[in-house]
Amino acid sequence: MSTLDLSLRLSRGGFSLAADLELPASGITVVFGTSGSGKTTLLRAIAGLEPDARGRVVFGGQVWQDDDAGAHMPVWQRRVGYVFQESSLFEHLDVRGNIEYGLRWQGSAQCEPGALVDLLGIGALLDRRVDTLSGGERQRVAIARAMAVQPKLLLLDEPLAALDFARRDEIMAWLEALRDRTGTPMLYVTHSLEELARLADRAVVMVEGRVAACDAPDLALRAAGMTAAVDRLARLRSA
Amino acid sequence: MTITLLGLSSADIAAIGLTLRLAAATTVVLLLLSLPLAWWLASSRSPLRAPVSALVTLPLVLPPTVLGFYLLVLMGPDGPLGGFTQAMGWGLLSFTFTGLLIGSVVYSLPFAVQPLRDAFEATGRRPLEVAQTLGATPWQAFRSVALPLARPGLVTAGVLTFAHTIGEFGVVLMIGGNIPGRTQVVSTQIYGHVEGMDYASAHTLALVLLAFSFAILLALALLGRRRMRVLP
Repeated sequence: MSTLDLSLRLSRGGFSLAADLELPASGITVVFGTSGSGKTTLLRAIAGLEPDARGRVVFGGQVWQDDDAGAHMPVWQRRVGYVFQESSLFEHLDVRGNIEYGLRWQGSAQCEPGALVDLLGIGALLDRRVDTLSGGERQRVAIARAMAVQPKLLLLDEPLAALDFARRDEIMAWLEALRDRTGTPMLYVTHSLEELARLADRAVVMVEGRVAACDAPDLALRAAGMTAAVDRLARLRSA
Repeated sequence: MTITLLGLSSADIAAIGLTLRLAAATTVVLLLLSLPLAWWLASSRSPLRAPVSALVTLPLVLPPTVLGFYLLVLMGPDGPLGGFTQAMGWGLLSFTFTGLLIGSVVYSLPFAVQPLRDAFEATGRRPLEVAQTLGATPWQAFRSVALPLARPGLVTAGVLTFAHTIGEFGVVLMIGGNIPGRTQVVSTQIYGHVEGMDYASAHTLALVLLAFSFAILLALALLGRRRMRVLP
């Protein structure tokens, strides 16, 4: 089974990130922690969006970064999908233009966005301007855009943070469908226990820029000393 | 004949033609030059950013005569640019259309750079990061995302440069003189009319310039309002 191996260091101002991880490249790995714990920075560094990050990132045997060997694959060659907290749709393109944007740089590796569009239920939105979409619709389009280029790894940075509770449930259902149907491994950053409880196959708990634990969700929370969170997680799961 | 058109003389018509040509050429050259410059100013973290920014804004506050004077010295037989053009066998640029063009480009530089820089800064880095995660190289991301998103800024920069160049006087007088058919533009022609006590001709030409400039700024304002109505 392929894995994501990483060992990354970054310091900036008063903040420093030190993360060593070996994760199976399957299912949904939730990166959990309070704000300022370095979750987003870690995700950006994996994508190659943090030029100051040093260390090693190897995905499925392919070296994305290895500073000892002077290797650094640029963002646009890594084939990661990235969904940002605000959907960051291209305002000058309609929904279809957004979803198909990545395909023009992909050469032969075309996919069939039709299936994806059905899977995410956005068929009726294709000709809409993006500034007429609701928050939930925007995030679904952003997920479809990231998935259209068939990424090897999907990175999601608090994709539900800007949405109300009803929409969160809805998007989580779409994400589960996506995981089950495409098998694309996902790294999902959040500070919400609800999302952790529902989505996580395993959890990486971050505390102050360090990986405090990496295990099954309840074990990881316990190992990180978050006992109150362990209880709440158990209640969320039995509810 | 054209001589009776709106009461403009053939010299007036020639001056208008030259002015429009100069403004069009300046707009094209300046937009090509300002795109990379504005992009760099909007996105660079270099310590050179502040001094370059100040330098680019300088033509906004300097008297045009000061600008024109330095350019005249630069292009003159003893200036570095003049020495270069003479060595290349191109002669001197002062009192030529090319000289005027260089002067206009410097003179209108802030009017092209600022709207573009504002547009690039408003877009921010995020859309470019998205584009790169979708497989676009930085250059492809710039062309397919940053540039289309900055289009309102590009239109503003073009229109302002064109209008500002039309209204140029001091720089033109310093480095172009007032040679009919070669460097005589509308503003210097009006000056000539007034000096010759021909107020009637000055009135006509001044009115043409006033109406034209107003029309351009009105168009820009209407364009801006329509754009705002489209946005949520």
